[in-house]
Amino acid sequence: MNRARTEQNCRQATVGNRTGKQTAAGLLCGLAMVLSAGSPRAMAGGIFGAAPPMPDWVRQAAKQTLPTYPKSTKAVVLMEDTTYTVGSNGQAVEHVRRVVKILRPQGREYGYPIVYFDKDSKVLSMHVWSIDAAGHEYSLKDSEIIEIGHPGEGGELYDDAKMKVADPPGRDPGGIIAYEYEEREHPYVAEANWVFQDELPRLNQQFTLILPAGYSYNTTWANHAKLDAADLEGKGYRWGMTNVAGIDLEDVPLSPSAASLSGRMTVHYSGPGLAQPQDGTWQGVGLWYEGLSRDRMQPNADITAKAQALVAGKTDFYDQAEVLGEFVQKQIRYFVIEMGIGGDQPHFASDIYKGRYGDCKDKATLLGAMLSSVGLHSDIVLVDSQRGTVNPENPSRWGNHAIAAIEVPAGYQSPKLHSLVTTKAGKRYLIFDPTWSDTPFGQIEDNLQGSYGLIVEGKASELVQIPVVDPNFNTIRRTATFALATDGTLKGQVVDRRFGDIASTRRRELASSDGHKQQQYMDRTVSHDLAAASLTDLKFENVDALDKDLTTSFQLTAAHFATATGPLLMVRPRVFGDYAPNADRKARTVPIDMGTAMQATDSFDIELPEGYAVDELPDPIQQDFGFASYESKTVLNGRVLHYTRTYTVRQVEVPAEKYGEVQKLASVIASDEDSRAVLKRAH
Amino acid sequence: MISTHAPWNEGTSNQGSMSGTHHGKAHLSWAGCVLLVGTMFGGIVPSALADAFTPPTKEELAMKALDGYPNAAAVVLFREEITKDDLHSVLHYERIKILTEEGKKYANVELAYVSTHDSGYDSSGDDKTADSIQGRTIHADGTIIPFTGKPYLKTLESGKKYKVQEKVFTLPDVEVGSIVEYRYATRINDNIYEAPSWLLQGDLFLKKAHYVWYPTTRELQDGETGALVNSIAWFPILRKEDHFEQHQLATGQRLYELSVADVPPLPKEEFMPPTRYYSLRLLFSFTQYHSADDFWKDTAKHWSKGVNSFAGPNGDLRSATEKIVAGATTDDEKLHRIYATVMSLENTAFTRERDEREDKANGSGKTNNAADVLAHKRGSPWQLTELFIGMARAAGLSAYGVWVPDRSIELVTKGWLSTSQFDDLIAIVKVDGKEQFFDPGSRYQPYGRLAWEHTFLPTVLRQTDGGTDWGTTPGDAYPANVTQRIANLTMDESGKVTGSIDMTYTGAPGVRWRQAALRGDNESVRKQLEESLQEMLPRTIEVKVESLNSLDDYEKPLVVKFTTTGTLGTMTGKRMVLPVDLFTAGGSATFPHEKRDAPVYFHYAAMTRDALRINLPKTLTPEAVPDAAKYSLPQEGGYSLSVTYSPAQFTTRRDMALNSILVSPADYTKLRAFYTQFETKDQESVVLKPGLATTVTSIPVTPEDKTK
Repeated sequence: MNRARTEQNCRQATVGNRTGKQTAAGLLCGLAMVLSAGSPRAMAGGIFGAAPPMPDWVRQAAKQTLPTYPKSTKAVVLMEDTTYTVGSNGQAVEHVRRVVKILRPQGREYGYPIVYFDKDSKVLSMHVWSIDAAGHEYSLKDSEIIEIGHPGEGGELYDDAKMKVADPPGRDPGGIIAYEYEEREHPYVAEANWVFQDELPRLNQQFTLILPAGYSYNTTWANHAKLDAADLEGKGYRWGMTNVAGIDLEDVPLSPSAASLSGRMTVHYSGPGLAQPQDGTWQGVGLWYEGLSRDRMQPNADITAKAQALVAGKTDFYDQAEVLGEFVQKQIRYFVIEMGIGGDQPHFASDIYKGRYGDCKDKATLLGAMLSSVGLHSDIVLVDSQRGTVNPENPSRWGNHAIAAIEVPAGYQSPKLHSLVTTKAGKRYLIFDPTWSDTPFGQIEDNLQGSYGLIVEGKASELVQIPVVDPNFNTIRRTATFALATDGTLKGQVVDRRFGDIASTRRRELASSDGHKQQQYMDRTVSHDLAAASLTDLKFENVDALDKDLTTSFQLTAAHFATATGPLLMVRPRVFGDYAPNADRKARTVPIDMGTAMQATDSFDIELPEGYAVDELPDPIQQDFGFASYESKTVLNGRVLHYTRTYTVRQVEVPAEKYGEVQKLASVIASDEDSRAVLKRAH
Repeated sequence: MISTHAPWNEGTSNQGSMSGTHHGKAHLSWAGCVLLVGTMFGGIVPSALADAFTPPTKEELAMKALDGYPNAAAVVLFREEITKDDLHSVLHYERIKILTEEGKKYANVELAYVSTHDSGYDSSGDDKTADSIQGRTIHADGTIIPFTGKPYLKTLESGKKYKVQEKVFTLPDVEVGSIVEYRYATRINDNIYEAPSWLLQGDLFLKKAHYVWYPTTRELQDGETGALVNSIAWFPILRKEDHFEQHQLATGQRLYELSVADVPPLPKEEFMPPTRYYSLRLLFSFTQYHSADDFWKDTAKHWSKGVNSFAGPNGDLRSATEKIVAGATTDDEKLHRIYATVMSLENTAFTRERDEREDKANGSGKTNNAADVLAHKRGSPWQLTELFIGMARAAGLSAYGVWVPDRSIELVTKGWLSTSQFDDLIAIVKVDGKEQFFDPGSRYQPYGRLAWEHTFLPTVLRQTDGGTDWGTTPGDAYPANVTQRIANLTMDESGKVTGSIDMTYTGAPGVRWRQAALRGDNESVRKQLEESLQEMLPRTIEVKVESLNSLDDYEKPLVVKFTTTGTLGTMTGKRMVLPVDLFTAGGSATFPHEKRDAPVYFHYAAMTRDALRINLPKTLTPEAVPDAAKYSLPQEGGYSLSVTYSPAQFTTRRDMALNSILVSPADYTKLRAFYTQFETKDQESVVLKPGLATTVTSIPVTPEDKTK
């Protein structure tokens, strides 16, 4: 189950085993260690019966001739066959057969069969077979399948997600790994997801849906045109695909998430007896989640008292919402306890408030309760922490995070409302993430900007696109005044001011470090550009005050900053700091993720040493590509070299066709960052 | 500064290597965590944790920061660990003051333990539990919020005969300024006794701690050997101010007690030696031996017997070896052939260990001895070394096993009577009357060379003609580990550069890349090599591996040829500025911090040699180049850079060598000054100006200036 893993990746919605497989590779590194470290023990235990013989479908799949794949392909899915059977009571059972061929040593990590489950889902059977590169066949005993629980990390203290996993023989290049399992799905779900594309290419795959009489279904698709199913005449419906390419982003700089690119189909079904039927609309998903969460948002007397105390004396909407938002953001510890439906359903606001901890959906819930107790309204917004994963064409439960939408009173205006959306009904909401502890109220973290989120409000539930922040509210502004000595030593005062979400990385780093580590952190930030730097009088202001500039100031001494080359003294006007995006020279097929909309400005003065005169200055630069712009200028004011530059990013996602412009942008910035002013010794 | 010739002295303890010996008491058992099976014993479990929580002092409540550690997230006010063998329980108590938002995470508690383990000592049921959990939060105003919740039980991993579990809980309503405190008890089976290990340093400052052990008075047997256990040994790494003592109560009960105060957190810095070298600790063991010498003598005997038993040689191995060395006339020639044979086998450390079914399917059966390893054509590092020893013996040579630690993890201290300090097996062979070290378990290690993890070890156990003995391992000075980087580029009038870069890796750097190829494949190592070079170069240059030479020939340097394209240099109007050395253009300061707490630790002594030639277009000619420079770190390191030029080209030559592998904090300033000096020199530039060049004779670019 892909649930909450870290504060930065908090999950509200689980999406079943299909998603688990989709991201299994990420877990496999850890798993490989577990299995290798404990392999004698790992091979010793299990819970089921004896080894079944190798079925013919494994051999048939293994016999297939492979098309030509890129050299980097680690493994290929030869066959995946999923049958999703919904019983007359609405309970679904998923049956999966999967065969993988390992092509390279790095593909060994794909040779661990894994099935995820939790307390509300049950693995009814699991069998594993393999064929080594020499053709020897192996059937694993059930006792060779072990269980691994979720280790917990990043504030995730308890999660009942587990996996059954095996380490089959023959897990080498040329080896075939096959497994089959049957799992009873969560009872509260009327949705099945078929992920037919991930990092591995897939040769043959099909998905079969079997519904009881009286049931109906529809499908929605992400990153793929809709396909019609073959009607099996009373035996279900089947979709099939062959030769689906893998999504390999391993060496793609500025890459979007794989989940935002991978093809998937969601089946929504409804029928008699289903408690939570799905109709394939975002409203349907919203109604489902409303049922899980709305009653949890009720404030009790303690919550009301606290909320009223916090807003006491504040009459402005923003001020009231801000103080409550910051209370939940700062005073409620991020802390995950998930069991079964608890992966989706928040705890009661009263419990969250009492313990002063909760996960993302808990925080959004408590914020809603506090706001309601002072007459304000908010809804939970279901999102995914990776931009582009929630796809407007694919209404579904896909997502891993919950945030809040605070309704803005009609007619209310404020320049502080940066992350504002308006629904079709004309309601305005301020989107805020109380889990993201270092982004100021009124803004939203960069990875959610441009993403889609579902505002959960019953029948009025609506998918909205979260706005990209104005670069002017997400800023780095650095100023410095230096004096350059004749021996090349640069000395001066640096002030670095950061505001908005872009300051969150440094705020987090500083907050989690003691004074010694803070010094080390800043030493490292300048060491990329200055080989002999010394930072003294290091000061930080407003580390916790998110509504103010995070200000870092220090005295910088950089020996040998200017280098004498013959009669010339070479000076780099930008001194330190780099903004150039990491673009490579390869052809681009996937969109470009620019990270965040932002603006950075540097304004540095360097007083020149006596006895030297400027012989040459770098040419000014001014480039505007629409999605981003860069300009820089070095001028001489008397004996002071004045360097200014401004880098602005306006779009977070840029189409692949514009990669040439991104490359040009990177090249222009890199060239400017390396440029030198040439001083010449005066005669 | 410590050179490669004498990196360590025996023992890192401030108080000597084994106070147990000084007290005339007993010494060690197997590993610090060995389990011992006791005689039948009725279970006595304490019904509750006896002690109440400690009332906070006014100072503790008011505390806002920790002197000397500004912005520290939290501080451990007090830790107590009381081990009562005859109750089979350990009582734990932790009091933590939360000083920052970040510090709130210390209110989350995870208690992991092996609840069931088919260890061979006991498979009868639960091995360990964690229970009797009590906790509370105290706000800075003194308000007490008790922990009333129930801990969650997590299963981290389970198989047929084992289960690893964890109890997790969080303390309530934690604020900055709160004190969180909790008690719990861990218990083990009634017939198991476990000597405590007191690890004092973690990521928080520890103001005060108290540890007590009430060892059992029962007669014990070693769970593995069955021998009677009659002594207790301990291994301390403590400071002078730490107070450790033994008592004997009126009841006859002996107890061991440690009190410490103001224990700093473990430093976290770049280039740190493993913390197992020096972190504060006190480790106990039950033992059947009366002295450390007895322990090691017996331990070495068992180890040596095991090596000999596996290595043989048996008849099959003798026969196979005879064929391999047939015609060889010298010991060295024989051993080269044997070494080459072992090196040609699959080393499963880089691939995957096979299980019995796979061996059976391949017709190879179990691996019972070194001859089987040869027959199966694969083995673990340990097995391959045993095969090498066996074959050397079969060829009539004197060959010995050497039991060594991996110094990337830890060193062996005789005072700690634990075999867990050892990791690997290497070999000594008498070649033409002289002992030489070999590391056949480290694939692609050149003949007669050791993996750096096995070099300069001050304490190893080795086989001798008469049995076993302590020994040391040799290591290499910097000339043995050389990375040579040669670039020969041509720039056109538009600033575009094309050409080649040849990287030659000798010694440890070559082994690193060869083993990277073993872990992946040709494709992956090419990619890694390109990424590695790309990180050194300016971002405007792109490289591609053209050829990989001698990837399998471990006796030769590894040579990688890259093709290079891109642009280079920055225009300043009429001039162009180029980095003086491409290979250092992308570098950062190695030691940016002025202060240092931990020693600096390098893996091995090494040298890099650069030679960069850029052939210029007719439109550009050198105007100015950096002055030649030579810097040294006396006895330990050296650097030189020079640029020669003509109107049509310039050539940079740079050498940097470091012979130290361990530098004390006291010598850090000198080390940093050396690095700063040459790293700033590396950032200097060659300045080109417009001009008409003349054609010059082409001379191959080499690290040595052959124009002189």
